[in-house]
Amino acid sequence: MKNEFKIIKNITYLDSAATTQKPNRVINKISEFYEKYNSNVHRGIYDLSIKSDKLFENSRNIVSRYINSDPEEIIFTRNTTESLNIIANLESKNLNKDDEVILSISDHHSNILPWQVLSKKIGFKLVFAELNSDYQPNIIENITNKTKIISVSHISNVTGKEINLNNISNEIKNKKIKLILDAAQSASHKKIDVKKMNIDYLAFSGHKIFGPTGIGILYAKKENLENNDPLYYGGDMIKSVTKENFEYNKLPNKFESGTPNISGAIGLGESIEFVNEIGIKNINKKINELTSYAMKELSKIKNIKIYGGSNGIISFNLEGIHSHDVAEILNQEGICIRAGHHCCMPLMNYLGINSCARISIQYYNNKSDIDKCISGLNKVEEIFNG
Amino acid sequence: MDNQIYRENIMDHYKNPRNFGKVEHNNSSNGNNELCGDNINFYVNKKNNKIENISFDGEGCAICIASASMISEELKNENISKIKKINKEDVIDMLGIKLSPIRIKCALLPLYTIKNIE
Repeated sequence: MKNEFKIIKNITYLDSAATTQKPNRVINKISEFYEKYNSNVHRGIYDLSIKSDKLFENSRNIVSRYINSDPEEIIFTRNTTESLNIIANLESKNLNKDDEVILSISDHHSNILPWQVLSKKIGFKLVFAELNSDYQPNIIENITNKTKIISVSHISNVTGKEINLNNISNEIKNKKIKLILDAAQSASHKKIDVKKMNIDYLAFSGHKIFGPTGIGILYAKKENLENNDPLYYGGDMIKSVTKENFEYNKLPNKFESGTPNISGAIGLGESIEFVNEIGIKNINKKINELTSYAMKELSKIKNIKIYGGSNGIISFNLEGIHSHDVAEILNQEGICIRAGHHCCMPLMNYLGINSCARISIQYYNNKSDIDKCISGLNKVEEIFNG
Repeated sequence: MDNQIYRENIMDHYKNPRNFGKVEHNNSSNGNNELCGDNINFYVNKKNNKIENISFDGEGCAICIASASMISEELKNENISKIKKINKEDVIDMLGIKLSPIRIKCALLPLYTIKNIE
């Protein structure tokens, strides 16, 4: 598998929750686009533009099949953060001061800040679900008759815990509560069916699913897009314009003004095809096997404190050693891990820590990567406590 | 590969920081690096334009604590004007290690903190 990912042939890459590496076929697909098909999409009369348009829209179809939506419900954005900001803006007109919006204390800043800003403006209450002893956010317990929105991470980028989507979905089935899912950490290995799960909005990034940076997905139920105004205005998103007025284009173009990230979208389509060919279940299985192995080996290190640990994401601290020192020493061994607050400062505060180290595992990792990391961590112990 | 950042003198200052704690003081300052959660307090007792006593406390990585420890040693019993004079290059020289752009922030947090002493 590492042959398909040249960059990690000689390093131990355990930071896939930050960004995944890209297989050759995705890199080649992007090159091929620029070499053979580069031209602007939409309204092109000549053959090259028609081909470019086909590739671009085919990617949208691939994405929509991947999460079981309709193609016109898929909006290309820059990343998860942009998608979540757009969602909060779309929902802002439906919220008033007596409402409640449920988030989780373990959410990424990108799912907290857009709501925090709106809450200050509109006055609705932000309710943070706390974590149980297994680091699971208690979402359902926080639902009241004032709850209008639940917006949470599918998988936490720190604890790795997956929320129970079925339970939440069942709980709100007959209530007027919208469910927004930040799937940044789950899109590469968890099957998501937006229809079955009755998800109102979904956000994820291409670069965390073997695709390029700069391309993200916003899925929204058709009615949420039809009944709302977009954030940006300009080319492509209109049907007709006069000096005084304009008429919106059809979906999804209404929400995609200007020249889109064509090569990014095509690269993302290819990365999803890569996932489909391996099989999302197989990716999940491998990640879980390696996670179990890593958890077993990590727990043998004395003075380690692990915060959850699941779905390829394991965050921890070695007592008395700053996470940056851990990451620095591992770096000297050619091992890439992340350290810091992971854009989850409310969670760090909740856990009573300043920062933590995190290893994150993807399909291209193997047991030897984990072994190297463990021996690196033993070296850290040796340098600090030896 | 050797762990040249974590050479003996750095680890010595980290494990046994000099002037660690809170001495009697008439001036203090706090600095923190939100990115990594490092947090340093300096306590300075000034008498007749002299740094009669200095100490620090807080939390940080090895580089940050070693830097604070070395700065405190460097300034103790010196004229107060030395706080203004001491600069980035001095701190890097004291540490004697090569630092990446991210880790340089850890090394310089104590410097920026002590500079806030009036």
